[in-house]
Amino acid sequence: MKRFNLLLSLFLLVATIKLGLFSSIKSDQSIFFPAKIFQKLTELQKFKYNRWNLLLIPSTTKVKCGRLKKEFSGFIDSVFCHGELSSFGNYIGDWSQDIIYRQPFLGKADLLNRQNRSLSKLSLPLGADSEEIINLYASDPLEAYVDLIEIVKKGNKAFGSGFQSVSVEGNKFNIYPILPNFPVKDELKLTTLMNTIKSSFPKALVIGPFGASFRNMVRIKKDITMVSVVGAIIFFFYFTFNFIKEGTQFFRVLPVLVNSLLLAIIFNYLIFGQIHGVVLAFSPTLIGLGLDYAFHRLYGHEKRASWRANFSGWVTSLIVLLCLSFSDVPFIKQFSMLLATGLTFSLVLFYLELEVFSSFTPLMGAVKIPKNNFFFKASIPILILCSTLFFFKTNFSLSLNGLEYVTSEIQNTRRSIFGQKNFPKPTFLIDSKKDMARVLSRKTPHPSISVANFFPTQAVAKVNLNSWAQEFNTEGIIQSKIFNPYFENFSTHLKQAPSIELAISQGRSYFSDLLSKDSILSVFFIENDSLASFKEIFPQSFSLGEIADSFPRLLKNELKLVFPISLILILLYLFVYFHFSIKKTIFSILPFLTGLGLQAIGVLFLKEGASFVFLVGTLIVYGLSVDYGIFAVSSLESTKEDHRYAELGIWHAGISTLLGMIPLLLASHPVLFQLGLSCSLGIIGPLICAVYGIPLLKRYAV
Amino acid sequence: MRRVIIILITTLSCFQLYGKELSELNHFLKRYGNFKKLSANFKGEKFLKRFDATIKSEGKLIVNRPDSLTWKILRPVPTTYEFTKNSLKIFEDGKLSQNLDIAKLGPGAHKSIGGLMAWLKLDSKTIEKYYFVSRSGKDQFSFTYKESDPPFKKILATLAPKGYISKVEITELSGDVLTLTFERPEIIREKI
Repeated sequence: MKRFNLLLSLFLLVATIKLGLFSSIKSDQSIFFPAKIFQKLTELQKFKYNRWNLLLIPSTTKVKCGRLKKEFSGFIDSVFCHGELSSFGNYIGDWSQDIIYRQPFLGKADLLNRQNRSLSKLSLPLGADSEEIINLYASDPLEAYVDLIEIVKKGNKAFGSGFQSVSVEGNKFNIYPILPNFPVKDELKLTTLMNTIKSSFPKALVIGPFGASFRNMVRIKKDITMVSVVGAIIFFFYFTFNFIKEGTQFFRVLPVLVNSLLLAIIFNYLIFGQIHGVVLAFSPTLIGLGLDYAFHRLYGHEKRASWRANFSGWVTSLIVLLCLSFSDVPFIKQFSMLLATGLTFSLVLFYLELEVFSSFTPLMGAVKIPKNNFFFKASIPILILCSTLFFFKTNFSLSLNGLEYVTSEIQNTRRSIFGQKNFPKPTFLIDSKKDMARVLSRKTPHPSISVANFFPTQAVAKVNLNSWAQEFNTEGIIQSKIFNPYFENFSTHLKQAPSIELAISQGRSYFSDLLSKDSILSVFFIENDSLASFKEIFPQSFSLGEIADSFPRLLKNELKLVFPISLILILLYLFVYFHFSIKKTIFSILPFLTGLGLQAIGVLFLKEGASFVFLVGTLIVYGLSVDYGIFAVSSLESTKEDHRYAELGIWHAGISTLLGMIPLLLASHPVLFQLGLSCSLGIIGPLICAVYGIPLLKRYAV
Repeated sequence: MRRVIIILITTLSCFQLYGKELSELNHFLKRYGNFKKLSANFKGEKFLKRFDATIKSEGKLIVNRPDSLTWKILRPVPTTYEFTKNSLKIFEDGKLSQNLDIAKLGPGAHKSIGGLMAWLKLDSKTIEKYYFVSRSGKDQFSFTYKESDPPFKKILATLAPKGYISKVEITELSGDVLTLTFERPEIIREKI
């Protein structure tokens, strides 16, 4: 048998290497978003507009725009410094090419007047910003850019009055909107950019999709490492302790656990095509849970009773985990599938190891359980009473925030920037490129950014072009060589058809934020009062807020189904298992209720409140803790000696499960922490109840 | 003891330099002491480095102490900039086209306007606060910004034989140079 386990381990290790499994561990946030939400976000990410992030640098640090542009040139398309006009350099050059399509020629006198006015403004000694003003006015004697820049400023949020600097916790930061030139999912570039920012400006903050992704990616990676290392250390000491106390017999479980874990990981990789770091962080938990079956049998001196109870524990766990695996949230689906498959492999492999391939001598229980502990006994009824708090007094946040790792500094910064009353809240509308004409002629009273702001309909463009073609004559109009370069191509333009498709094909930079390969993005800034009427006209429009709001709705619907189904199925199973004894069925769920009481108290101490992840933990604990109930209630009818061994099995199973959960409590990512906390509290309660409470009910059960 | 002497000498030198600088500034502003209102016509030439071109303008500078400054461009097209402590009003063709809150213009523009106002008000305390002053010719004075990240590279001012400022050359960070030639100013002084 030893050879079988070793060969299996070797085979599984080769398989994981061949599959490239550990080198392709994901750490992005996509696992937290249901398909419907992720699709919307992916659709938005096609447009560069959604790549804008805010780089916040402490105002005490002297920063020159040129330095920012130079240092991040490989990763950033644009950076805007203090609203400097030169930041629009690329756009201005391209806008000027299409000026004749956008503006009618108002006559020679008018053009001359505008040019002269622009020249007048140049004589003001304005210092550092004057170069930008020159760029602007020199580029456009019609001054059309001013409006366009205002539009872009609105769209890029941090611009406009009040958003160029922000005060957070008494520290003032200057805001520099940056546009990375790569998609957020490019982890390598994201890491390089963020590291470059950190090395140049150690106290800088990045707010936006790139900043959030990076923070979570780094946190997840750190937490995986921490959980794996702490888990390994904890189990090393645990196994060493038990080896000293119980002898070599104990070590038989090790290869089985490793094989079960590897099999579960490979199985999940083959099903989902990926393995995520957050899911992998539950490996110690799986080891702890898998050990349950081994302990129940190693301490159980009755083979049939032990495996019957083990099987029942597996069934109840599986009911909950399978129900959860139908979730639309990939994280819940993958994590419950990992546990379900891991537990199944553990059960099968332990059975083969202990009963089929070889025999074993049951352990005698050298480790003693502290007996007659009054405190534990007295706490059980109190905790069962407290479990009612869980249903009536505990509020769980179902929002997406529960899935994001965010520091208090970032949270306060976001609040300071986005919480401002006049901060524009964008609503998105995505059209097919085939509907370009409709998009160009679309008119709404709301401020918006769309291709229509930059290019008129073909009919209007034609009229404008004709007015220039008829009257424009460079001689006598262009007074200064400052303006000449911008009119050099006019004659070529005049001969062209005024089509936006042509402008797009020539790669005008100002379209790039709003166009993808096959679709067009329009962004509207709608006041709350007008949102309903806007939605009536454009029902397909959506905002980030709406996307976020759809998550709790979706989750609520899922939990509404999963909770009662699991509850009823497990109760039914217990009812049948205990030969239709209502008393024993109720007794076997008392450990779960004790754990629930402890969870309810734990929630009260959570500073940030409990999220739905905590609730998922409760559900999992329900499936697991009934296991202890079954063992404890089943052993009530056994002899005193057998009952002692059953208790030892429960004690060791509970302790090993708890040890598997503890590393998660050290994680900073809210998903790992809350799940770890929920499961840990949820396991301590059942353990106390099964060992100290259930035996007191013997005279009622028999 | 040696150290004490060095420190004393260094401190005295600083006072001496400071005293020299202060006397240069006082000499420079001799004609402009305690004025209430100042107005002077100017002719401007701005050399735009990027375009290798020079544009010409004409206008009038009006300074009303303590906080008002008007930059009135008469040619090529009438445009007026009215700076007060907190606002900037722009008039085009005699009509108010923009009324801006200076505090909200962003750090770059805020600093530029601050630097410009400090110099053009010709108030010794304000100039001393923002600029180092040195003499670069018989009647020529050079002003460099005290803080890092200055709004201008350099300001060179020349006094006419009668003591009023006749020429100001402002070199901007971009390399553009604005040369303003002032006529004799009209000065209304505070009643003492």
